[in-house]
Amino acid sequence: MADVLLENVTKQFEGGVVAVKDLQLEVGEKEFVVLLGPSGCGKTTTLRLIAGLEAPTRGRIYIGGKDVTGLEPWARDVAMVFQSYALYPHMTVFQNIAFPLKMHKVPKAEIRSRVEKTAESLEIREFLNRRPKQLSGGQRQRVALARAIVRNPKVFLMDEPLSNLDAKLRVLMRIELKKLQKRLGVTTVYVTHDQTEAMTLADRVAVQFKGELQQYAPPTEVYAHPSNKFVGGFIGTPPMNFIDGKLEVNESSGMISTEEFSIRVDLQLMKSLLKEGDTLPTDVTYGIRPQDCQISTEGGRKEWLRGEVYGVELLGAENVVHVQVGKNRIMIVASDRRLYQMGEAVWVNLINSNAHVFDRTTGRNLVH
Amino acid sequence: MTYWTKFRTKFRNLGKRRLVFGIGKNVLAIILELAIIFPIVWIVSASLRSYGSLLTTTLEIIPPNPTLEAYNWALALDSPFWSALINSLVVSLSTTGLCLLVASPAAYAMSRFRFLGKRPILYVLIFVQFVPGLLMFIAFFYLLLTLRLFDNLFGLILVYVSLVLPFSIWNMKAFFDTLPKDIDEAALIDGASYLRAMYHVVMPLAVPGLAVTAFFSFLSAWNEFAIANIVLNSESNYTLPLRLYALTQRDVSTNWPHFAALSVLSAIPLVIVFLIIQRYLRAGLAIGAVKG
Repeated sequence: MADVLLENVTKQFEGGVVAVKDLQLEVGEKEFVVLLGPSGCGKTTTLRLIAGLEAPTRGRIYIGGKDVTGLEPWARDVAMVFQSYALYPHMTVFQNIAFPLKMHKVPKAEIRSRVEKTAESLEIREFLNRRPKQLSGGQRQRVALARAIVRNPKVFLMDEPLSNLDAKLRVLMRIELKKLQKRLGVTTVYVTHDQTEAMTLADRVAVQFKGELQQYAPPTEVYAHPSNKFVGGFIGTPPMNFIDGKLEVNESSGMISTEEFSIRVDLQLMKSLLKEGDTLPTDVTYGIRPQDCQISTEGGRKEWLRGEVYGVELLGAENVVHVQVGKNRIMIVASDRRLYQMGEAVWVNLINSNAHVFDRTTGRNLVH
Repeated sequence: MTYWTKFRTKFRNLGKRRLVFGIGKNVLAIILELAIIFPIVWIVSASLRSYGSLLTTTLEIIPPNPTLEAYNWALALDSPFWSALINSLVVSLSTTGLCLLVASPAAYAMSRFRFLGKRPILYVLIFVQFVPGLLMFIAFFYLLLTLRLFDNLFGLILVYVSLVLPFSIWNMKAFFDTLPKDIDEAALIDGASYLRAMYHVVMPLAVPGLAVTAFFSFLSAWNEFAIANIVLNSESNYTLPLRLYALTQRDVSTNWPHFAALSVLSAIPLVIVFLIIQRYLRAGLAIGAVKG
């Protein structure tokens, strides 16, 4: 059963901006779904639509099988963690966590025990009498989480809850959050623009761009089989290399040619491409992840392309080498720890069965 | 480096132009302050004189034979001061209370909701402030007659509330606008209705805004004379400004020390209200709600 269901939801703001376009999204029971996309892609609006803070222009929203489209936020039984935490500054931590219970008319004695239990599990019990102002960012974050989970809502909504923490704490909280969600077993919709967060947290990732859902699949699937060029380029660091070219197919082999060089399309990919039949376009974009490219200083190998090192990013465990091949600049993750020098002549191999071929006009991935 | 050379370097670095500007600024400020303080000093000085000793040809700020005779008169049990004080308090406090009661929800709606006609309403609220209250009195006159609220404190309160509301709504709206919207949205999701979110979360944070608005309404009502002079006829209804004015309208010559003492006494409640409210005027309560 779907716990949250958005049916053809469209949100158009005054002034005509369409933030969410004909969105179809179902979140399963106890599932952790991450809405991922660049800023302005409609992911936060989607979350606010589920919360009831915005009303959809068209479409229906269901929570737990019940149509909540016309319901106000307080009648939806959802809890939300805001990016700013949105703690009540005039209340103590205890009062903050107790607030949702108080609003739902829970008896006083029960409020006390539930708040204390929740605070205990999030290790903020010692701060119960402080005010938000007296807490650090990480502690405030925990209070916001406590306020959300104390009520056992049907759905957790989280709007970039980790983005205000420093990098180290963020990694810690990420794991905590995932464990917490699994322990409580509450359906969660989580908004972020950080792909690492999405990959580590999500059961399924919904990639949004310009108000439209691009792909909705488990993280590994989104990484390995991006549905289009946008998803391919958005997910993965360093980002995927794109090379525009013309696709030429003879019988079972294929080449993608630019003005300066050609890349043979891997046989695995060809099988998939040929299923397209007559609709196979000639204007395509070849996409290959920096991790799937190879680099060498030795020339003379068949099908390797000659290039020149443009620059090097030293990351410690691995280095990202930017190689200029003709007019294209290609990023390659070199795991051999060799120190490539700027201007050095190198050879690169771009043939890989994990590469993708995108239709250049529609952006659709032609490899399935 | 000796102290003296340090001082000289500093002085030279200051630059002549800045020095002249600095002195000029302070002189101007002192003149302005004197201009504001002088009438107050003069009234206090006058209130400490005996009847008749006010008319001198020399400027004496400290009266030659100070006496509390005027205060004795004003604070006597049968003095007209007491009934006027009570009337003024009733009118000003009611005006303030009613104004806050109406302005807060109105301003909250103006700050948080989108609705048809919001902009026109806000503009009209500004526009009515351009019109002096007295000019609108023809309308008030007619309304009060119809409602049979002439020569009635409640009628006066209604007029005052309608006069202070536009500014109060704008002022409160400006304050609500500075409160992060996240906080009331969090309250809505936590299960509070709009009214409860306002009561439990927004209003406690809006105390500095409420304090400013309250002080403004109180001040306006406390000092208003022209309209009160038209609305109120019976002496038992007189507010303090009317009572003061009445002192100058007697057949015998005006007792200026009495007038001055009454003026000083009428200012005292205002000072008390200000001292109470001042604590709340400090903003910054909202800091810490969101990541700071």
